[in-house]
Amino acid sequence: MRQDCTETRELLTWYASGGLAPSEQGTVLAHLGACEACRLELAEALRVARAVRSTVRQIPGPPRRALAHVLANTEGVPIAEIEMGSSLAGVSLGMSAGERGLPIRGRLRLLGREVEIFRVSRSLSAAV
Amino acid sequence: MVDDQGAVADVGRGDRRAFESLYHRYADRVYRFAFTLLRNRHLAEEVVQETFIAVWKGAKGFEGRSQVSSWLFGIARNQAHALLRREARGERARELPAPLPDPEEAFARDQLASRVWEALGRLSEAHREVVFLAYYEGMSYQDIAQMLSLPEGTVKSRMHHARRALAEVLT
Repeated sequence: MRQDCTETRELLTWYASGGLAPSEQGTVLAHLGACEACRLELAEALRVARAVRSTVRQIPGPPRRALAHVLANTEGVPIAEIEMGSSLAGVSLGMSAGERGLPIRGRLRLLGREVEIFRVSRSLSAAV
Repeated sequence: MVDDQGAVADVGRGDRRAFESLYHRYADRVYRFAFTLLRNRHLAEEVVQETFIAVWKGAKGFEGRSQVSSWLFGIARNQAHALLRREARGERARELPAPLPDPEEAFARDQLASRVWEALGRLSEAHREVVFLAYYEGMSYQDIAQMLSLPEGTVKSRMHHARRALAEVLT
């Protein structure tokens, strides 16, 4: 195997995934035009890229409770949480206490997605 | 829509909406990264949580010298390693979280995905992270090398080795 074949093959992953700088793309492309063995390697790199992407895409996201945990640990301690509805659709109202105040937030949940519909932030000094 | 750099700047100023927006943009990607590395859904969930808590605390110090995605995956990687170290030292309390659908069940219905997932499991964690960042995130080898503090040649050779191993299960 020639030296430029070795160098090209190390770059084929990034050529296949679109992660090469334009100048490197040009070098790889020029080599591929003249080297059938490396073209076969490129076909393999493209197959692997497709298979990995399709496999990883099937991993679902984190459960909803992960966001609740993050919010509780960044916003303060949850004081109250009221939820209505089902796993498909519903609304929730939450109040926390933290160093930045006493925020109250309302959220709408629909088919696994959540959006905030309102937020009221009240400073601790105003609450006392 | 505010771009990632702008969103992190807003988070640094304490903007909760920007923080949640950043979470929704990246949580799935961070979870997939952590699950690919650790192959454990509960640990992956913890990595997501700890990563975003660290993002909230550290956004003010983000100087924009790297892409937001590289910064976030770098934090996630550190959190994953910290979790593994705590596990190894027995410092981490074993929790019994509510049941979750097992991501690996999805692969059982897809033979190709199942073979690829098995092959990824035979690679080292160091190889799996390069595969994820290159193929799934589309990061350049230069960015991966910078994020992992490795020579570019090491990133390229890890990827070359991983690709050969993965190609075997596709033939």
